[in-house]
Amino acid sequence: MFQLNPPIPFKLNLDHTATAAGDVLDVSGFFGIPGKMPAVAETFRRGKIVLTVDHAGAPVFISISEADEIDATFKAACNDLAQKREASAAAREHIVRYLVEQARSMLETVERKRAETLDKLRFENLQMVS
Amino acid sequence: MPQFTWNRSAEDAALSLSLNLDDVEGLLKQRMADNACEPYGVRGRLRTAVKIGNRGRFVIEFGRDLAGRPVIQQVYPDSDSEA
Repeated sequence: MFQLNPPIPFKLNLDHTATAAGDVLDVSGFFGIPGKMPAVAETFRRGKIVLTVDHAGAPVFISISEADEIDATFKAACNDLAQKREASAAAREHIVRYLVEQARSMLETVERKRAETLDKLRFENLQMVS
Repeated sequence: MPQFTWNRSAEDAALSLSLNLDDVEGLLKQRMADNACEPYGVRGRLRTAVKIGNRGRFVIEFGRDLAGRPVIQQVYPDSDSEA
């Protein structure tokens, strides 16, 4: 059936590692179906967040290192995984919402910076050099 | 010889970038032997940038599990773009 706004497949990964310095939670998500992902054209970082996008600027993959430090829900998810329990559905939704919010924020920043660059790109702003 | 392990998302990410996991491990092992990994984060995590064949440069982040084995936590294309 034709859909005007088809849903974006999203796969969430929650990874726990027990280290000598404590339990660590790494979070990542694919905006698409793993194994059928488009080629990554650019990578952006913000602190411990990494976002890759395709040639059209659409998000491909987002990951957060040591995400258990973000808030209590992330910490609880980390503790659940450390106890070999699944993270709760509410925690998973909270984490996905956070990932989407961060991806949107990073892409908005990229768009704003590019708009500023484009705005400066005018003949009167050039200085000829030999 | 260190026994490498991968976390699930790092392995997924590497495969989504069409990277050969053996190549990633081999290059990381070499970088570790060269002591060419820089500290990153607050829990002893390290990272290093490696050139993988003709695929370009990638960043590998790794920590260590309780047994001291390197755990590859993140793999992504190298870039200095802050957003």
